[in-house]
Amino acid sequence: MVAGVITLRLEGKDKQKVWDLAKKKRETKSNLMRKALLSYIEKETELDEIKEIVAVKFVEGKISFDELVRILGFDEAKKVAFFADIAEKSFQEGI
Amino acid sequence: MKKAVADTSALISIALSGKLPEVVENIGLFAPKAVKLEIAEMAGYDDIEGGAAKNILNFIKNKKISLIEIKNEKNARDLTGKSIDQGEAECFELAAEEKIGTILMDDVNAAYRITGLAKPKNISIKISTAAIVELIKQEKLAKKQGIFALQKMVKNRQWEKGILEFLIKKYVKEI
Repeated sequence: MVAGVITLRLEGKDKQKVWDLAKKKRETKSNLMRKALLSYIEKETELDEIKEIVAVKFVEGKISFDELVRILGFDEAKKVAFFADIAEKSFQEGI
Repeated sequence: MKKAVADTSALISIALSGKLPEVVENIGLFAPKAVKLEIAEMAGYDDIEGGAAKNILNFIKNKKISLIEIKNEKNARDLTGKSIDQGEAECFELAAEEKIGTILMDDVNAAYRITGLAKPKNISIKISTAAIVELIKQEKLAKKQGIFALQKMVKNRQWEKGILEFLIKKYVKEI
């Protein structure tokens, strides 16, 4: 894919934070935001992969809900259990 | 005929299973305006989902998928937030207004937020695979074809190695 320009809208306070950090790091604002964005995407992708592996183990019955909570935290564990539940119902009941 | 409101993610998944014609023929599918707008935006992309979106727009144009404008836009607007976008919020409002008991939605975050509101109104949230399973139950689709459609959906959606792939294998053993 060819390089392209992405326009980003930031609140004044957040914009100032980017300006300040760029100055401190002696980076251009564009470079700082590119690094931040790519780092966020990499982290989230890795996290999603971990969540997916753990979720499958839970659905397979290889780990309990308590163990799921220990690994993902309560909120994420609840979401995984919820998704497993609606997915199972979708397979069992149809519409 | 059974009815369901479908959001953008669910319509794309069903289209990518290759069984959208059979689904709309046997299940009444409904979508609000915001979903059509999201699909129209996706149709501009030159990828597999863009192709699916173009296909869905044709079904909407030919009234095979019923496009219904919600009556109370404020209710939908009030629902939108971090996890729920306009399309998902309008799907909930449409199901409530038209008393349609099922919403098909593949985004776990939105489904998780909406389900608490849906339960008191006897609306159940299901994922797109339910539409294919329904066709198998109604014997409109042979089991083998249905399983193939589910596997195609998982592959095209890049859901391999996830919960759904495991559940399909489990489902194949059960039926």
